[in-house]
Amino acid sequence: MSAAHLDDQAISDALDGQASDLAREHLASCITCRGALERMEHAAAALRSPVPSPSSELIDAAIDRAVVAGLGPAMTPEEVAAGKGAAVAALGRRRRERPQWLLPAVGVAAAVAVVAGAVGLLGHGSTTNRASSTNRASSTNRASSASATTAASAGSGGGSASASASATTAASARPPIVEDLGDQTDATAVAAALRRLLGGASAATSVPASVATTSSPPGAQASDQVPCLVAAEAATAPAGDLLGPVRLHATLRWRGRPADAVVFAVPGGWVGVIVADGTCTTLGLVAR
Amino acid sequence: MEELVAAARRGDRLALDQLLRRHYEPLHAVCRRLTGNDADALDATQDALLAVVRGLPRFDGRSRFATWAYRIAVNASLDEIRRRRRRPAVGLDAEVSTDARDDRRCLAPDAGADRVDVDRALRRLAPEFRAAVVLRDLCGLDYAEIAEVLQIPPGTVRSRIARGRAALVPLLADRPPEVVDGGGEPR
Repeated sequence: MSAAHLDDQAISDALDGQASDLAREHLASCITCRGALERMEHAAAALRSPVPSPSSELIDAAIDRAVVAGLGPAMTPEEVAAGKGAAVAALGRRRRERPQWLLPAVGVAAAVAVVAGAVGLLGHGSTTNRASSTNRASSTNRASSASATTAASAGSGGGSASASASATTAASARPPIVEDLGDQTDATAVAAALRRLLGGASAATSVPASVATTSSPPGAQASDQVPCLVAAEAATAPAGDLLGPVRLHATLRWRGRPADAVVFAVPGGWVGVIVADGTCTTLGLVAR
Repeated sequence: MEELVAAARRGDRLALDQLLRRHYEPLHAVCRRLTGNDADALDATQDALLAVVRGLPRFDGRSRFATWAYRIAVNASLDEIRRRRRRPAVGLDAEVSTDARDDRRCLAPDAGADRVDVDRALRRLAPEFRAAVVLRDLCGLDYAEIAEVLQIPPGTVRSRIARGRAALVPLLADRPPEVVDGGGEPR
């Protein structure tokens, strides 16, 4: 028998039937460790002792409260007979007292509104050509194809339209850069990192404002490369038609959660959305 | 179960009632073991039920419903423990270690010393260790499920369970036998 006894981890593993072969052999021959295992089994068994259940009245009341919170008070038979409302109201469609997503959503909407406002001001200060291009883009459904947009631009835009078309094609052909930003907890730091990456990559992927406003939807370019693209686009919804193609996709751990930062071009800058991996929940918004 | 969950999600009142009723006792047991007293357990279980109902539209079925509901119950219990810590410590429900004899004085004679001992012992564990041990030894979840419930890696689950159990051994043992076999240091 080995002189070294099993440690607590090995004893606990053995209790869960996950002991290694060596540990099993040791247990077979060591009375000390078998005693330790028995004592740990005794402790685990104590935890399994039944927990007294509350009275049925308390259980009924608790369940009733939860059901009413989800579906509202039950209708009386008279109300049902009178056809007042549907007997079934899908969970999640009911108006809740204070939805948990409300505050973050308002925050995100406010941030995007600020970005959209800044974008509007920048656009206002630009040349007439750019303004008209922006207007054309706004009136063009984002769901239409890039070629349709280019054709619409060519119909009234002359030289700038052809430049836009070629630049759009070039931007579409380039996949967004994928970088890893590591562990991040601060939006300002993420913005700085994105700015640095975008600066370094400007020759390859920077998109002029006029192009950004006349390109096809970002999803049409990179949906198979960028995760959570639809959710990221939705998070920037107030930017609407001003949203350009994806300029960059970066991975990161946002406050401990695996996440992606998706950066869209907007006239005069960019807007980045941090979305949770898997759930695609919006975690943050950064912009330049 | 999947049909029941789907019906509850659609807003079927009877299905929702049945779903909650079916899970009430396991959820209450977790809350009871984690909070350590009846009043807080009832509050935590109620909060968990409300959170289950409100979260049901977002339940995507990637995990078992029970695992998902356990996660909610653990979070509700940990919230309750935090709230309790902010309240002035009054009597025996406070999150402090107390003498077992004092605990027994406040319980009816038939309440059972075992229950007191388990509560007293669990109170000595930090909540994160308590949760891991309770989910394993009371609920019978495997390491992967506990990792999902507690949102920690399985290796951390394994370690917390081992350390939690080791801490409970001297607290729950009735005078553990001193065994020395000469093959090494006594434990």
